[in-house]
Amino acid sequence: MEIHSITNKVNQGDLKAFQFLVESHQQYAFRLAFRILCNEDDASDAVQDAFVKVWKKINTYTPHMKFINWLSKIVVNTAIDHLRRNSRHKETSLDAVLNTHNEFSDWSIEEQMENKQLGELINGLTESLPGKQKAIFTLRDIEGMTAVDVAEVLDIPESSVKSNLYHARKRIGNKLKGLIQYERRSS
Amino acid sequence: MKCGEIKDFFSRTDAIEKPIHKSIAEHINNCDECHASYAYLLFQEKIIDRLQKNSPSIPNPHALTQSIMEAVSEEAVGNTPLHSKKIRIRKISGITSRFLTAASIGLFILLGIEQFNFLQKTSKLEQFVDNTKAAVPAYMIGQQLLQHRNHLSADLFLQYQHSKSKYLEGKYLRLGFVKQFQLSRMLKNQQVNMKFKPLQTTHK
Repeated sequence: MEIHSITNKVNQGDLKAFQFLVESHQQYAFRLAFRILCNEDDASDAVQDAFVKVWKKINTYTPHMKFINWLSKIVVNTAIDHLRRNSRHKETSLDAVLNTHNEFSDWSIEEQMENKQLGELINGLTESLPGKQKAIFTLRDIEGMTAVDVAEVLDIPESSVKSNLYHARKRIGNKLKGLIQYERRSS
Repeated sequence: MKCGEIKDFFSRTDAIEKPIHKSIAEHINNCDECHASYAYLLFQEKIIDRLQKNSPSIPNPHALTQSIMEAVSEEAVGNTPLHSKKIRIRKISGITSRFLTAASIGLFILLGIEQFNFLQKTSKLEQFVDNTKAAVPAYMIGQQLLQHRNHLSADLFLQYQHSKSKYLEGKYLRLGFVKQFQLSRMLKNQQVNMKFKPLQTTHK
């Protein structure tokens, strides 16, 4: 079914159409929220809140924007709100995460990680990033969105996406550098 | 090529994605520091690649759908999205505001009529007091005015006092609230004497 006909039905109060919308997009929304919040429970809560917002705000959706970008905007903003509220977010030692998993140099790309391990790894890498940088890093680098789409989702200029991404990568890079140097010293 | 020139390369967000220029590749191979930086970059890309390929999955998709639908059903009244409810509330608010406007106009007219009656009655009384030029007890005139005032607000009464009756302003209101109250109580027991009759007697 065409996404615009579904959103039109939802706008008219069709709960079945809304359920279809949820079922077809909740995995994407969860993935996005999880990559920002780094834990299953928080991500599930954020997804639920985000879809309630979708239901409430569907009348503001216009087809000139890709639905997936509009949904991403709601999910990312909701996840960032959750992130701010949970400022007591558990601190993760990247070093500990990598060590409990595998020797990072021997990683096989094909190996699938459990949600918990994946959450700890992302948190270990990105916990020091401000919410906006974290969202940009997630959308651009992990989700593979174009800079134009990220700019639309976050409602910021493309140049801002690029500069924030540069700073985010630099921070992550410095963290990894510190870790590798520590590994070299201790081995 | 110098290390400073290669800094731009490392700051590019697509450094790994695009093929490396031959001169850059040569410098990286010959410079330990830049070689290490490039190795970090590759390692970072490896981790990002790993994050891309590892997609977190919803533990129980059906339960999540159910909880979302329950939360939305609570929002929906009679299968109507919330924005429609808001519109309905706005319409009701419009009707209420129109009713309040009409009620305010009605009240204003009623108060106007009351004020007009009050001014007519009190001006007669004042005219009479001026004509007599007698030392009429201030509290009695005050009490007469209070009776004519009926249920009009005290503010309106005082406004009248200030604008119209210098006599009462100077005499009655100077008594103060407690004294006024005592006089009201006292005169309540002698209601007959409070009417125009005793004043007319004095006039004679």
